[in-house]
Amino acid sequence: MSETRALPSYRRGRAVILRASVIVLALAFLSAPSLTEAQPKQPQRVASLNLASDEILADLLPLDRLVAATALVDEVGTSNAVGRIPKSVARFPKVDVERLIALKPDLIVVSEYTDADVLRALERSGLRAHRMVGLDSLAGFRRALLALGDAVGEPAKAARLAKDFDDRLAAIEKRLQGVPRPRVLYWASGFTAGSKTAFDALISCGGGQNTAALGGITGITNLGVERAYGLDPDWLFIGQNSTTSKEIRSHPLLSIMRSVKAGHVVEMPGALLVALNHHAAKSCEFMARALHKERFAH
Amino acid sequence: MSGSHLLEVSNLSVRRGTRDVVQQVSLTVNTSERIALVGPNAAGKSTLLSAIARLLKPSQGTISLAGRSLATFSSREIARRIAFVVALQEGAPLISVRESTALGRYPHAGPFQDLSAADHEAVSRAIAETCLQDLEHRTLGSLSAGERQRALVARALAQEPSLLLLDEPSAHLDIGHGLDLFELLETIARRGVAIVAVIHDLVAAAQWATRMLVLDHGRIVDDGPPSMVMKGEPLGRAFGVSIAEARTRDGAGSTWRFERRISS
Amino acid sequence: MTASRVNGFLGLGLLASVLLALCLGAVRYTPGEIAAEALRVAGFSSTSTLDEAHTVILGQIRLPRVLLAALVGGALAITGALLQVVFQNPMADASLLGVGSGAALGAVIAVKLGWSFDIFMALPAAAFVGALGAALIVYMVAQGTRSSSLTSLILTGLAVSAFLSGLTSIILIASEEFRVRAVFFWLAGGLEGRGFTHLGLAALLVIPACIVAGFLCRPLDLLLLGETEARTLGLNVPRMRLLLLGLAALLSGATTSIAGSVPFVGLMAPHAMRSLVGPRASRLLPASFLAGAILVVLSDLLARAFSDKYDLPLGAITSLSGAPYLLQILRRTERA
Repeated sequence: MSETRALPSYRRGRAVILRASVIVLALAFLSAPSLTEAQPKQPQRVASLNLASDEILADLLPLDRLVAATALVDEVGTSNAVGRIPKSVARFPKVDVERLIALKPDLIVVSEYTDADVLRALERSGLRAHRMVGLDSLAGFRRALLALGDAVGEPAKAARLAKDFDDRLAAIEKRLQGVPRPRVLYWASGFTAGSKTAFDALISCGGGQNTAALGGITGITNLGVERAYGLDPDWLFIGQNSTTSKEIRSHPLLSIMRSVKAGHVVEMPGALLVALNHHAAKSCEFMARALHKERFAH
Repeated sequence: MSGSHLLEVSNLSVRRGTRDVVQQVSLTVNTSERIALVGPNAAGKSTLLSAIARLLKPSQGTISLAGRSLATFSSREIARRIAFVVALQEGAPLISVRESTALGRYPHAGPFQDLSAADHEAVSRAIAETCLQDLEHRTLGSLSAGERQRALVARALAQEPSLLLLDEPSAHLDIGHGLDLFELLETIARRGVAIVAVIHDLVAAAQWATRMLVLDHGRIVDDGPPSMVMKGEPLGRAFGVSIAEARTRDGAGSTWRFERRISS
Repeated sequence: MTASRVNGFLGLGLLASVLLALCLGAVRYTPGEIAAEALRVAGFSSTSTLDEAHTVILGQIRLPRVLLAALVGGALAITGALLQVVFQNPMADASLLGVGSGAALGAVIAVKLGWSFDIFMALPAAAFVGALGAALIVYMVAQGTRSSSLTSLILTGLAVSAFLSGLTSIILIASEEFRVRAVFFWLAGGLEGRGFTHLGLAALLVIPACIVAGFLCRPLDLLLLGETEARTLGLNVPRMRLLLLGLAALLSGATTSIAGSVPFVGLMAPHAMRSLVGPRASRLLPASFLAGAILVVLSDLLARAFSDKYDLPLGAITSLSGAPYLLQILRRTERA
């Protein structure tokens, strides 16, 4: 009698265990995504290794979650986030894998130009890397901004920054409606920027046409002063306080260019010149105000 | 025979690397002497010659030229008195015989002055003495070995030296050209130039020289006229041969016979 | 053909090349316009056939550039000729002195520290210092070795060049992209953006050095005979070699700092001229200078006129013509 009663309880126990295991396995299976993703949804220790993402994260991320930024972020005249990143955040002049690992970041943000080999070294050390790509057009800046927002777990904030970006650009576009687009040439000590460059994007959104791109030039090329003169742009686009800005009025040929003689020179501050993110809206505004002053007179 | 010597070498030692290649050599040279410097390989003959030409610095001893220590001369002053004809080499620059000979006037004319008429005459004389007039404008590279050797001598003569040094001048010459060369050297000596030549061929040396210097292991082991030196013990010992004079059947001429001897 | 006739032809060739280079480019001129402008500048006429921009381009942009090309070409050729005598080798050239690597290191340092972007002429000055410094190091190290033979000088030059190139690479890797780009274009060689200031400075260094070299014709001929032969003729060979190496370093440093790396001219010009006028310095030096000048003027013209979008690197053009020429020489000497 005790045996037969014992048997059903033993069988019942086994069934319980079996059922429990199934439930546990099911739960495990359901939570599988979070297991295969070794990092938490919201990275808590983000290392930013390029200026563009430094500037974005300064606006996007609660700064206690940032563990590293580039040394450039403190440079006045280059950075749009000077003074925004606290001293407690480590500064990286370059990609130092060992120093990075020591910080134990759970996400590293690198530039488009970071070597694939370096990336693989980072990944093999167990670090997760996010690459900023497509930073050669305004649409590209926007996409990169949103992608970074997703990667750091702040999609809503990124969307707000993107909306602000869109609004500012739309405002510029509204003011520039129907305006004739002057021909603008970017010039830096003999070099110019053709299509597929950030400078090209700035010229377009500021209401101009890129003379170099019209001439079939792609990327940064060694144009030379004779050709530059021959292109006869309506406006010259240079960096403020650069070698070019210093020499432009004393150079025998540059000083007699139609654009320079007419005072049609856009001298953009360094930080705006190299902005590859939502700050580019300010750059576009700067360009638009310079090229089309009358449209901003209110 | 009397009077001060043209060249006086006293107790000269020359060190190359870690050893003294020339050891305590003393000798004198007078005008018109034809001295053959002979000895086995690596005896120090070329080194001695180079030291006399001041191409190498002695580690010990003195060399005086006309009573004055060689060390007090500038290199150009030496070059105006001592000419050195190096052994013939492969590859010659593409300059003409005349241009090459004219370079021999450098000690006299210097780096900047143009060659004077006197310089050009000296060059012509040197070319005439070496019978190179017909080849004057040919490049050195286009000459035969014998002609090139003569061209080197011509350049040395253009220096108007009182002492002419030659290192193995007949080394690459066939027998005919070798005889021509020695005849030329005899003519030069006859007009007062002292000649010291390192000569490989003992028979040629004995025929040409007025005096033979035998160098063995850096030391002078014999010094005298060929008839004496060739028959002497030191020469044979230095080369490890026994030397016997062999007269021709008619007794008019003689030559030398060599036989390998087991070291004594 | 006599040497003076060859030099005459070369002189005419240079004038023709200069004229051609002045005519062609992004803007074109006719020889008539150039002649008229020359007359106007010389004060023989007061009318101008060109508008202001064209006058500026011709007189202030193109003229100094073409003259500089000629000067650089001549200096490179003389450097090659001198070194070929010192090293007793027709293939010797300034790279043996470590000058190119020294200049590159100087330039890279100037770019890295930002001097080149802030101070006018900082890059050429730094390159020049680097070039001379490298030559000095090579010479001192070679002197320190027990054998002061030519072989040790050559090997030391190679070693020092490699060392300096290593340093240059290290600095470049630690630099931002725009700096690396600036250095790259400098290293590739070119005369874009060089004006009268560059021409004046180059002339200040090159012309006296060439004149001094001209005075050393006879010692150069003596060195042709061989070291021992030269010494027996009373030449102080070590001192003369030092002087010649110093001149070569000065010339090479000046050209590299102004125009970057322009290889093969020091090899091609003297070599080609040697077969025409012979090895004697009094004939070879002037002929080499003229031949080198023509070569670089025409190469720079090609660099400018090839594309309407950008300049080709000058160094690349001389390399593209120089390397086949070198191979041709090697084939011919092997066949002989």
